[in-house]
Amino acid sequence: MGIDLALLFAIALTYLALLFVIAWCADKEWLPEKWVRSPLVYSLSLGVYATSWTYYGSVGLADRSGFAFLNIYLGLTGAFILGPYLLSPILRLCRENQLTSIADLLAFRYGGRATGFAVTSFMLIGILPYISLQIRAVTESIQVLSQQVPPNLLALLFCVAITVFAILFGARHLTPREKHHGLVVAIAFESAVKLIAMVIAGLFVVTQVFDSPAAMNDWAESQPDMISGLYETSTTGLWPTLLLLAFCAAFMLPRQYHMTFVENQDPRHLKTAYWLFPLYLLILNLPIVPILFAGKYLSLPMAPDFYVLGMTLTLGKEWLAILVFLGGLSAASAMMIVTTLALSSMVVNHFLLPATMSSNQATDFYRRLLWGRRLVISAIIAAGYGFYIVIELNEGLASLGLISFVAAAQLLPGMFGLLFWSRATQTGFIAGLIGGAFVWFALLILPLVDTSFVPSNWTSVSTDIWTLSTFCTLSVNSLLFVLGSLLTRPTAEETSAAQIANEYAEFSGHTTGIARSVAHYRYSLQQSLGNKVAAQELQRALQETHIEDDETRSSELRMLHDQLERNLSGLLGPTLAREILRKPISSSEESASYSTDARFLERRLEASREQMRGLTKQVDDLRQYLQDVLKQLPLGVCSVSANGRIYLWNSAMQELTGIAERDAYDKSLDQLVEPWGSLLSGFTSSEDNHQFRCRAFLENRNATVNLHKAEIGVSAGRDDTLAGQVILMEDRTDLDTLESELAHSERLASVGRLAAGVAHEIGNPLTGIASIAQNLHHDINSSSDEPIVREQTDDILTQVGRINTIVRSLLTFSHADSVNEAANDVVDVAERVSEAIRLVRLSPDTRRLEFKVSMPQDALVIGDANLLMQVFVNLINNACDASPSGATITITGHIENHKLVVETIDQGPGIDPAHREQLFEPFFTTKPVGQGTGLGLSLAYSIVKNHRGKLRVGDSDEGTKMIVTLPLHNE
Amino acid sequence: MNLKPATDHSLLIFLVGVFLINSPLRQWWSELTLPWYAMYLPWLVIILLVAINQLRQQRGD
Repeated sequence: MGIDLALLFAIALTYLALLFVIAWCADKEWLPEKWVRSPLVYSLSLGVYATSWTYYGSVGLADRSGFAFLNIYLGLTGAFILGPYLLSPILRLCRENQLTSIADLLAFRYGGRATGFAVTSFMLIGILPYISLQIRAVTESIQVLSQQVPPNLLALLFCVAITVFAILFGARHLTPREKHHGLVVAIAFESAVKLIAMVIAGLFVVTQVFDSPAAMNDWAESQPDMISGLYETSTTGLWPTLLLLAFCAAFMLPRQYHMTFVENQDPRHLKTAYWLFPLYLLILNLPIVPILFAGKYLSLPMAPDFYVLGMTLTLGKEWLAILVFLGGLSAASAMMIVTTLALSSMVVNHFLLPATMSSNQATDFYRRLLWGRRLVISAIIAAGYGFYIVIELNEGLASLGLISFVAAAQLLPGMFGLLFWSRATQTGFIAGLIGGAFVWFALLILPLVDTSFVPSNWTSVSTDIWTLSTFCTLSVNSLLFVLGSLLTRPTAEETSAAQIANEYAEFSGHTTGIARSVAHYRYSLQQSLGNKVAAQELQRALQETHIEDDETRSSELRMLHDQLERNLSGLLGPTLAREILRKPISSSEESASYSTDARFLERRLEASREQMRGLTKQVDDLRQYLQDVLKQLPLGVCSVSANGRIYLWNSAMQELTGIAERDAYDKSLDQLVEPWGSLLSGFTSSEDNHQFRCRAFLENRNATVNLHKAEIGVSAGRDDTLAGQVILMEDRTDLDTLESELAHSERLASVGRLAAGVAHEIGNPLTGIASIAQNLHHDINSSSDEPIVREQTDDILTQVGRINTIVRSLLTFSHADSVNEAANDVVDVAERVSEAIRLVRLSPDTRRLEFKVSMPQDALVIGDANLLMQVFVNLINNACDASPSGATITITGHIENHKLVVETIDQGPGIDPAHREQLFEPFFTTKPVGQGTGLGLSLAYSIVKNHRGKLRVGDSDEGTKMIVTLPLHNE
Repeated sequence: MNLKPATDHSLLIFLVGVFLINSPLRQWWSELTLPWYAMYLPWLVIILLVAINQLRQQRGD
């Protein structure tokens, strides 16, 4: 019994099309964002690790090597347990530097084109057996199901279909950071299908083949040799070998690197995957042993690799056979798509682009890149097919997979150097890789072609081939790596990359190659990428860094440089990105400032905060706290590095000077806008550590500041680049204003006291003069024969009356501050206003004027009725004096916010704006000499103020508007 | 300012895993007559330890 070949092929194509639809929907954001970008989908997408080897080959490996098959997953679990030390740092590097493949990562650390070329070449060769394994698994599974001998044409058709889908999934368009949301969702879906199919197959074994779990266990117990065989290999050398190989493969296989690091959306998802992904693998492998039992129990005729298919067919369950086949297809297609995608990126970045970079600038660069990837994907799958055809098919599926695992393990010394050994060099890495690759080829590839090369035929070593090859390759590789690294010196670029790669390494500044302007970068990019692409890439980097086109500060240009390098690295790989940015750029000599480095360090610290633990995290929290204290200090703080560049410019400094932090950062003090530039640079160069009452004349106000400075010395154990100065700027503008107001008040108080004294002293003789003049006037009136004398005595009395008025005003003013604090009568202001008008109208001069009064009812305030009436008398008098004959004086009142507002408006010429500020000062008058004392308004102001009110000049189109505001009395 | 560190036990769990799965202890349990699923149990225990460690840390963060 078999399933029709055409039907199987149609099912396979439909399934792949369904995957494409899922990926398309995810790309178009038609699927809920919440679960598309969830840790579950990310963890499931890592299930690309479980290929046809897991799906079919694990049963075969379990048959041959017992529970050693589990080590392929236990080793991976080990790598994920050590994730915080192993995977998280790689993810950080990958995200920060846009390293889109493992070749990019190693080329970033070990510099130069040679590293990328070597890694890519070896990975290409090393992964071919693995790709051929997938082709073989699918064609053989079809052979089992259809019970027909599949022609090579079938394998070829499968390869063509996978090529089309790989291009559709990963090279349909260019994604700048190699993130393919659709691909992740599709791979996660495939992982779910694999899991469901395998679990159903396991349940089928337990319930249908053996009837119950107990029956299966009984049968297993009746096969003690088989059970002991399962455990037997755990005592051989193969056990730790497989653990080590799987540990390496967990993050060094190109597809695992791609899904774990490149497609990661959120670093927190990786933390969930530390346990969720191993749990997925455990559940996936749980049915492997029962399936092996079922194969033995049913005495299936096929190879153990395909027991899972054979048992379903034997028991006539075609639907389950198709489901299992789809699981196997998922495993193979996911592996091939992701692997070719990752390898194509490596080949384009490290083979094609370096070879073609300088030519054909006129052609569309992005298009060239896209078609390059498509061609490479096709070529890799074609090579895998060729390998499938050429290599003898007598090896189990697991053997082909393990060949690739040993190949991937050759990157282990290099990865160790990347993460932990900053002394490692490119020479050491390449020497080790080439040495390991030669041994790998001799021990594992040649025997596939010719059996005379099988080690057991030419050596007396009895160890299994996997242990032997792993030991030999890694020993040669590591030895050459260490020797090569010790015998050569790391270049500046390698040292810099090592510092970035190892987040705990000390940072010594990598400031070379920063251009002097944005224009330099534009020119540099145009040389390699052409005008159009250069403009697009530069614009993107400028937008991402929020840097303006005319920026010249080295710290900002460095940020732009880093961003450009990251973006180009995501597109072309780190080697070319560096070369392009290094080309004709004239670097700034000032770039090695501490402030430039410090910002870079800040960014590194911010980026690595998540990874901080224990004391490091505490120290960083403390650093953050102290930085916040400095930034939020209500006192201007500015620190200047040893070369005079501003490093710290806190918020108070920004508020005081009006200079934003980004405009001050990394500038020298004399580059700041005036007057601050000359003020601060003059202060730092002076010998005084304190300068008081420094005046800064600004456009809209004058500021007065106190300046203090201190040297930040070099203390023991600290980097001398941290030396410099700290400047404190204390704003005393408000304090100065208050002081001058106080001095003015004191001056006025002195004048008041003097005036009161003088008035008192004048009062007594004046009373005498008035009495004498009155008597004289009376006597003259009696005689009435001296008209001139009478007239003169009248004048004396008038002038004495005037002096008396002035003296009374002076006395009233001198006591104004102490008036009636105890007076708290309820005063009807409307009545006081009417009374004031009546009094003013007694003067003959006011009869020519009209009064228009509108006061609210119950305008009650607390205070002294007589004093308030005096206020209105003064205001109305002034209004009358200012108004021409026939004019109208308007007095209106209204209530606003529980306050009574009384406005007196005249029709006079108004008040000169220059006089407004002095209007309420004592002795200030605009009236002609002899007609005003200058005390009326001042007195009114004091009285209103003592009633907790305000007197001010309002804006009026015509004449003068005086506004009195008094708090209303609350019943 | 929270100065309480989030403790990471990853290394400790890794060593426990090595002890259970790849140490002389392995030889001892391989000689016992164990049911077929016994091999999965230490794996599950390790996964649970990692999950607890990660969940504790995420709560601490």
